[in-house]
Amino acid sequence: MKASDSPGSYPKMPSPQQQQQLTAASTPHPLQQQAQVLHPLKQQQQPQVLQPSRQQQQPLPHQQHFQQHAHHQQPSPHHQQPQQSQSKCHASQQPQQHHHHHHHQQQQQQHQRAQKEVHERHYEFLAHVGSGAYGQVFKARDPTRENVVVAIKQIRIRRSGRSHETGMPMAAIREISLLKQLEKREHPNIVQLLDVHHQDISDRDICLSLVFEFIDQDLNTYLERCPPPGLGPDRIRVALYFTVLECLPNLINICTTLLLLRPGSFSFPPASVPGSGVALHVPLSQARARSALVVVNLWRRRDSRLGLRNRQTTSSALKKVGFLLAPIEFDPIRHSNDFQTAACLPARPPLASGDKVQCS
Amino acid sequence: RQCDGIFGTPVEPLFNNEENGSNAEILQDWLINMAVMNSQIIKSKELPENIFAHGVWAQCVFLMCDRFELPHQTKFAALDIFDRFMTRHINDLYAHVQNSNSSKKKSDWACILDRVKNQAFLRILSCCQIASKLSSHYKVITVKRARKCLLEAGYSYSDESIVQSEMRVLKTLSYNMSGATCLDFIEILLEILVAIFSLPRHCYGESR
Repeated sequence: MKASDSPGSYPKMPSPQQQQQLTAASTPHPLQQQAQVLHPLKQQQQPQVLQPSRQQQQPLPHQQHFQQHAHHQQPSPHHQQPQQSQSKCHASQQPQQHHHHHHHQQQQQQHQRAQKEVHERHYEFLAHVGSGAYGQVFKARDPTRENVVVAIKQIRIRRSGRSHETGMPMAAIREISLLKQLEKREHPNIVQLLDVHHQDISDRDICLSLVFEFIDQDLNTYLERCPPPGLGPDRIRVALYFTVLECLPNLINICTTLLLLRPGSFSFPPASVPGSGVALHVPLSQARARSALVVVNLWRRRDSRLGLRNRQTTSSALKKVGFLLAPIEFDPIRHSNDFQTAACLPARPPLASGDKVQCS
Repeated sequence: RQCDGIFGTPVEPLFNNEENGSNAEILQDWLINMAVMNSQIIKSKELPENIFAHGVWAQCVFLMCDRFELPHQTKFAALDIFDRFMTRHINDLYAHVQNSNSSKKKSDWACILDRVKNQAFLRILSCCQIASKLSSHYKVITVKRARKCLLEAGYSYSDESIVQSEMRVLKTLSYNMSGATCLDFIEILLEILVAIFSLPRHCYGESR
């Protein structure tokens, strides 16, 4: 892209595409609009100021994010004062005065975008909550509803490039699918997925946003603040079991669910940061949570070694749910060694062999 | 003992496997669950019309899944996704033409239909791609594999269009990817039927 080669310079003239869009806005021709729908790439390019050039050092992801929402600004102030822009920028920020001329066109363009993408909402970003392999999580306020704070997880999807990086990430697809299946249940222990939308942020990337309810307290702090004896096993059991079991009827494909049930889903990444999988904010006592984590981890490792993931039937999957819960029910520390042995055993999966779980 | 699959896992379809088979109570719960789910689908407005879930469309989806060696469950999931996507997509397009101010709506519509026909293969591929990501781990249809498949069929699409098509399918479905497929229902019915007639007693114990 031309503009991205010289990110500091602001394009003064609208590009041919922009002009085309402006004329199309006055007399919308159905086929033209159709073409826009089917080939959004060609028509819906964001102002290229946003996009850092390849030569330039990439700004931090959260800076990029703020740029994408406050794209009236030149990129240079962002790089000079990232902190300031972070605290000030939000989606509805007004542009600076000296870009007035260009601003007008951008507004029209934005207006057009807003018409096309009805689902796109403008959230007011408050803070950067966390990040991981999946992307960035932000705390944001929903301006349309009062006092509603949401957590927005943003995943960048590459349009082209090395093949394994492109396309919709598998984890995201599974997470959305699962949470969509569970959303009717409105389980108190499962984070609610409020909205999913995607938008083009540059000619290389699409930004997929998952909007979750914001959970105030993360599990780690919860456990740290918990007084010494910790939580009783009863509470742990009730919370975990009921969450998992109550949700099973809503899930059509249990095999897929199991791919998502991972230690993180049960406990660890703090529940306020929706981790991949189902973020259950289940109170576990620290020791138990840790050791359960070990056991479940071993389970997963064993499965991947044995290549079992791809071949599951619903009934075997159901059984595995039991196996996942059993170690937490019984003493996980004592039996983690058994599981370790199991993990190293070849060929025959020992735990699929009988009705008895090893830790009974 | 059935040990012909990879690392001793049995081959699909798997019914009443002695080791993994469910007991009567679970089967019953399962059946009731599916019945409830089914009645909910029937009551809801989004009753699938199955326009695209049979005939040559279904054949094409299945053949494509075969080409990528996807399991049965994925095949049916892909078909379900494709059916729901096409129905909604065409409805959207039709509404769009209806609401437009154009003077020649008829030729516009014909033009759009042509475009839909041309894109059908790509859309089917996108649906298979999504289904593959939903259900299996290492047989996911990557963009590279998708492009290769399209090339073999005589279509030349860029990586970008393949990603865009995938996003378009997801967006049209408002990210509702998994519904109950007929395979899910058949599976439980067969499981119960076979269980009634042929299962060794010890699996059922007193409940029989």
